[in-house]
Amino acid sequence: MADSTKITGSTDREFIHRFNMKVAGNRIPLSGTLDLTRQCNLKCIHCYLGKDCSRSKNDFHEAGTEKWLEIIDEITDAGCLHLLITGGEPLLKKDFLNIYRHAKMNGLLVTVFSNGTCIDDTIIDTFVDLPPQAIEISLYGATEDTFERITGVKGSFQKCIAGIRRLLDHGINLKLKTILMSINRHEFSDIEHYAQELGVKFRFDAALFPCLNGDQSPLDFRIHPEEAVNKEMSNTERRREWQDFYNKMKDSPVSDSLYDCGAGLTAFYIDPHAKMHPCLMAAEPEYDLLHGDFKTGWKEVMPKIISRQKSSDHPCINCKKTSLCGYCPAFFRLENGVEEICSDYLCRIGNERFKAICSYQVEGGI
Amino acid sequence: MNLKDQTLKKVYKKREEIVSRSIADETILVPIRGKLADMQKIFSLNPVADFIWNKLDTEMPLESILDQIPIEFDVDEETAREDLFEFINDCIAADLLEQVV
Repeated sequence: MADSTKITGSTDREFIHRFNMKVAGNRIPLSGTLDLTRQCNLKCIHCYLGKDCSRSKNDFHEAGTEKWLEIIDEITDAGCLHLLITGGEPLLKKDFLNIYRHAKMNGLLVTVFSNGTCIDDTIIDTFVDLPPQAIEISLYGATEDTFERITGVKGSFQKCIAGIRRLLDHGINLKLKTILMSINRHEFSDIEHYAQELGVKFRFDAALFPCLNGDQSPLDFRIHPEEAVNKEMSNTERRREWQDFYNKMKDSPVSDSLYDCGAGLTAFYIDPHAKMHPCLMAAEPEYDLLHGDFKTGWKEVMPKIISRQKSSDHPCINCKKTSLCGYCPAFFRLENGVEEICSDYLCRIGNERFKAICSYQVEGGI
Repeated sequence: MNLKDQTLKKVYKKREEIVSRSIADETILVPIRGKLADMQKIFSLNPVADFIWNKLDTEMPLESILDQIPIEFDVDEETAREDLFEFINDCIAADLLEQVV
């Protein structure tokens, strides 16, 4: 009975691999996103919610606290472990703290996405008592001018910086991120440097996508793929991660499934009206949790997405770079109206990453 | 009475800030408060560890738990004793238990 009483920590790779295989094999909804509200106090020019989030509070008719608590119990029973709470600005949701506490007390590992401008004493007290896995704050600029050109709200930069400092002062696990776009490209290294100075993890994304309502205006702020990838590869650690990831994935067969990610397989998304989808960007399938329970939606409706196959003439079917581009049919649909016409922008990002990795390998690594 | 015999008289209980989850037939311990939660650590238990962990709910002395291990699993008493001590020591090191008696 060697190792029969062993406790395995979360860093045990063998356990994580075995666990993830079981989770996928049994289609357990391990990772969920609760999009609590479309309300937001900022008016970011690139936001995928468009102008929806600047409506008055009473226009939303979103699911209430009792429903969210019920949903959290149902997803816990179904095996959810990793929970992302997002919005809108989730801290503006009435009873956010009750919802957050309930998720924590259920034994969910909760991450919160926030714009950082609403971090008050009650939030800090709760996060100190029941620490989140992480709170991720979007820092859109290193200066007030750039930040507020993006958020459209005077005073939001100082509030965000104050929120960041308060969280760090209280030892909350904070991560910073940004959307790299034409308006803040010149401050990218300053944003990254700020995160390094604070000693927090930092990530960014340049792949802006259209609003969920079809408005394409966020795409106007995209930067050239070459510049985006140059910035990505300017950091040794990121560059090494991309190389390791490509080397791991390059010989894997290209999947026949249209959706080859975890959406509908181990992951789900619930919108502010309690409608479940496989992910934020995938509009279909949809299941209304106001009129049915999570288990039914997960077992009977969400599998529709994983049964879908790529057509034989799908442009990505023989491409060896799909591990590098961020292949996503839901993203393609938002950009092109259909899921099987890939995004030219993502394709170019994938090609640039491939070129960078190849040149790195020729140079002989670090 | 040797040291191990004395240990068997002890009673431990689970810390209240640990939530036990069962996912994909695995028992996962999720610390929700305190240092372990700050460190974003979780733990998994294999079947024997899971059996002992569940017995800790009743706040019984370790010797009572020890008696039940060979009934539940095909092991002799000496192996059961080693397994029990190993698990309890691991739990104490990980700050998952507190001593009651």
